[in-house]
Amino acid sequence: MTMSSPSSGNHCSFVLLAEFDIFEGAQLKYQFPQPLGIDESVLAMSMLPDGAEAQLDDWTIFFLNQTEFNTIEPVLALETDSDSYLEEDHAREQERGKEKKKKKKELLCVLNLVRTKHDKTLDRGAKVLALAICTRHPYIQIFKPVLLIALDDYLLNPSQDVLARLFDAVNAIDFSVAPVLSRDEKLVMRMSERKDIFAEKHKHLYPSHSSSTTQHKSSNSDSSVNNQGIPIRSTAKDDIDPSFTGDVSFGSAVWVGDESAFDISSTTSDSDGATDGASTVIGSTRQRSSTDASSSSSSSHLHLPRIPISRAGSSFGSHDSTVSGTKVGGTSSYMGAGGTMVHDTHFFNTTVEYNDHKLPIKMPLSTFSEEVGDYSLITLIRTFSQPTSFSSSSSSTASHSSSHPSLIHPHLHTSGLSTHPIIILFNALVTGKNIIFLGHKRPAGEVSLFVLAACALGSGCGAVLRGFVERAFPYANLNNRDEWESVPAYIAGVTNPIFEASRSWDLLCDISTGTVTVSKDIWTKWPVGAGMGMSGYTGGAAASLIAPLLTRTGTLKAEALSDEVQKDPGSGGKGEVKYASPDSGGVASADNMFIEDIKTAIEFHYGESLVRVRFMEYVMRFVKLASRYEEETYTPGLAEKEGNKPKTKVGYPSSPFMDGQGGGANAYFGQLGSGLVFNDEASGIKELVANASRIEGWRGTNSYRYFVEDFAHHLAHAPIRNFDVFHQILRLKHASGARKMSDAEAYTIMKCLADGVKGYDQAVELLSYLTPHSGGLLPLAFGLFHQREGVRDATIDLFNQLRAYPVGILYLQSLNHFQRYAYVRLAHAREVKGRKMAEQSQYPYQQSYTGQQPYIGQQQTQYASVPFGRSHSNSSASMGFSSPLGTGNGILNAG
Amino acid sequence: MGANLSKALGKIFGNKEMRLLMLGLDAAGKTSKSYNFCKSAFTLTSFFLTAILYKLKLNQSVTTIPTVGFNVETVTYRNVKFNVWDVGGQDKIRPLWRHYYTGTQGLVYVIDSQDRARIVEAKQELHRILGDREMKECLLLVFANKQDLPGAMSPAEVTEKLGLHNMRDRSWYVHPSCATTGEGLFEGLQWLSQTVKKQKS
Repeated sequence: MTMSSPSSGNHCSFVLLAEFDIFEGAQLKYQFPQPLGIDESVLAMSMLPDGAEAQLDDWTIFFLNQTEFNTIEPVLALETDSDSYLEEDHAREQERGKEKKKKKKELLCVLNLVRTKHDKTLDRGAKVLALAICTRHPYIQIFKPVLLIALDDYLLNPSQDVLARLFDAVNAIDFSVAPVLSRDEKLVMRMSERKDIFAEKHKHLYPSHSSSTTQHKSSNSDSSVNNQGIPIRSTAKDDIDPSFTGDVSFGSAVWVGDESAFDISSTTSDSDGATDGASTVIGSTRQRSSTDASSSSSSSHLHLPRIPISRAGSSFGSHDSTVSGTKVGGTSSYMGAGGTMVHDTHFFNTTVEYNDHKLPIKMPLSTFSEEVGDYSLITLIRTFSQPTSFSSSSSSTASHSSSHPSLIHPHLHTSGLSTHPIIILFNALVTGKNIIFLGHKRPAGEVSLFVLAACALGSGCGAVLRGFVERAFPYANLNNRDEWESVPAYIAGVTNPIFEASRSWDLLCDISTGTVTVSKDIWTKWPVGAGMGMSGYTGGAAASLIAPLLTRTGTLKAEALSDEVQKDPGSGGKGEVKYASPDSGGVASADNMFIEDIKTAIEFHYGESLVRVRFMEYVMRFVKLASRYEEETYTPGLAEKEGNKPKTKVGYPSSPFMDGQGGGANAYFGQLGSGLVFNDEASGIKELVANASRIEGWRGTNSYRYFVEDFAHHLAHAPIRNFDVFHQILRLKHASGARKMSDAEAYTIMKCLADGVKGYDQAVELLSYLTPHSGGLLPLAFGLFHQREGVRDATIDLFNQLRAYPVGILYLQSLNHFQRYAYVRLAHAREVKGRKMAEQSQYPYQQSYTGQQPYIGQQQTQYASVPFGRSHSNSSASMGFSSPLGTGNGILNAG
Repeated sequence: MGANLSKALGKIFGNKEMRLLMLGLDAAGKTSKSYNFCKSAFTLTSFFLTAILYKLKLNQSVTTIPTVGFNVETVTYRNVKFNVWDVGGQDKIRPLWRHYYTGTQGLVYVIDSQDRARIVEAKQELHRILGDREMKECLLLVFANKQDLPGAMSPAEVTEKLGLHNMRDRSWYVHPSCATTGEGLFEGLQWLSQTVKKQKS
């Protein structure tokens, strides 16, 4: 093998070429550098899809090393891969390591280009051939251009040399300087549409920055003046102490606002940097308003339209993760400040050289291993949201009896008849049903992308669950049908309509008609209540599992239950499906409202990245519901016996905040709440009941087992330990809701966060819970306005921590004007106070502001159940609690 | 909805739908080379299908680009809507035939009447197909093709060589044909449509 250098390399494991022979059928012609050891007809048939001759160019995608039939066994062992698989977080690597030991090989993606070359001189007027590369990278789409060129090359010079050239070209791609992001960083990146997010990670673009050392920015306005001409601010690095002792004027307001602009401009043009810096000194007002304008529009970038009219202007939407370099809205206007800065930090740009062609490559940096290729959730949702999608969700193909009521299955139809097809698909994915995407006379590449989009849908774009890609067959065919159909819970894409008549699928999604069909055998194959393949829980139908839920709350009526969940065959027998009827009940509404929301977003041209984030959150919510469900149903009395054994393995135990009791140093600390909190317990339980069946289904699947592993790993290795950060943020978001937040809780939360976030990894983890489209740091910023000084202080500590990192600064910048001002004012006031104290009593100033003792003493007695959200007089802050999306935005714009 | 309505109307007016599977040994090799059009992996069957389409749906463009995988076309003849599945016939593809059995109501088996060397093979394949559980109820239409060529076996000879006389429980019919001219195709389809109408619905 000709590997050019160790730093590049191993992007491509094999290159294949297949040709359709008019006498012999699909033939595998070349395998480079060596035979894969897989049945050649399997490869050839996968590479030359049914109906390929109807397309000029087509792409198919399939995987290797999934099951026995497609596991590679090269004659020569491949050299061990030094670079980590997919640069995934350590958790999954370790899991994978374990799996590997159990002789499971890592998944290979095959990207295959099929071409029908029309040529009158040929026997039948055309020939069909295919060129494929096998790679470990999930972002296979980056290899498309080089495949196109190589296939052109092959048509001109049909020889194995072309394969060798392609192999070498791909393996020579240099990703060595590409930023490698942790899981949390990836989450933060994909939730942000800012094109400068993690700019500091792109070392090749900012060679002068030694990414971590410049992070402690000076708050001293003098130093920023001094530095404006000097791109590197290494003089100020790490010495926080002098920065605080410096003369801090009110101009410090700007260090939240302009740091990053400064960073960028400093690398691009000095003059721009100088003007920025100048405004810093002159006075904060102009500078602040200008950065506010850009940051607020960028933060509102991802907001969903509650009222369509409110999103006027061109600064919204249209950013697509696959398109970049286009200047869009607020983000680009911000970036524009730096001049030539058009690079989108979501991607790493490099080139591949093939026969003197230099082809650009944009490698996405936040890809998880469960998201392969350039799939589109938007296309998936659009296709299956057509009017036809609904009419056939209960009727089925000609051979099936049409509209049989028993086709309503509790695993799938979580909102009864009004379940949206996309939700049916999601339910089928998480409960491990066999799913086929059929596209007769459609390009195989299109079908493949639907399968990949489905994998992303089920896994929450790879950020929540896993175990989907390993059972996905993006392009499948008859040749090895028995093998892939025997893979449990397969997700397959086919172009041959013969599969419609097959009985092995549970859900058939026809991409031509946009219909989702449930198998008529669904009840025979998935009898509800028979344990769903779980060992140990053989008893009880869904109803009996839900019963404890009901007895606990006593608020639900039995009819509602049987109507919504135990859809008895008689009730749904009309075959007509009314979509999202408003009276379909509170149970149905959560999912249906979500889908409506998504559809609205798509209508208003919000980008794929927003939809991905929303589905990621949706799957997270599902998992949290599952965790709560387990607590509620599976351990009656067990917990008491075995002490503090957790009742659920997929989430934090859910408990409310407990006021600290008794004396001692920790008296002011209560016990933080954790797990899933419902604003309204009754509707929450209703939601649980609605989810009960699919949660049951999920508990029997591999993706559940993987998640148990992942969650255990999270508990043991997450940067922020020992408490449920997500719960705290949710509490802060709904602090003024039905369950009002006491001062004690507010204090404990902010204090724990401030204590917990002491390093970069922790800061990033915290940010990964604070999605920009639901307000970013907004929920935390309310701490700045709390009536208790201790809360305000803890919030400032926390924000000061965040401010130490460029990504934290970006988040602080996207706070609204008012909150940023408050932060700066408070931080400044404390600095002054600290300095004074230091001067007076020679105390090290740090102690005076990090230690809370002086304040705590006074407040301890005052902790009553004063509601957090309401107690302070500031109206804008409490407004944001109820709806961080709508109202907060209005304030921003007004300012 | 629309499909259901047309189905209901079809019942009233005697319209029928019928799924046909068209199979045959491929005609690769020497024999077919002399035969102008028919020298692809799908020679007989896909050419047959093309011929039928050409006859029934005038102006249908006839392409000769080799088909990858399978063809499925719908033609209506005498109030019967035929869904014709054409699957390749080369050795490698034959194992895939079985995937198309389920739901098939009529098998159209195309014989190269000139190829005496492979008539035994053709017989074996035919009996293997019909032996499948899924094909128990299926009608059998055999086209003794290439009647225009010298030395072709007569339909009677084909019937005998395929051992059809021993088939008691199945409706079968052998008809001479010439795909290049389209002769015999309609007669075959007519037999199918009449027979399927006689059957209980």
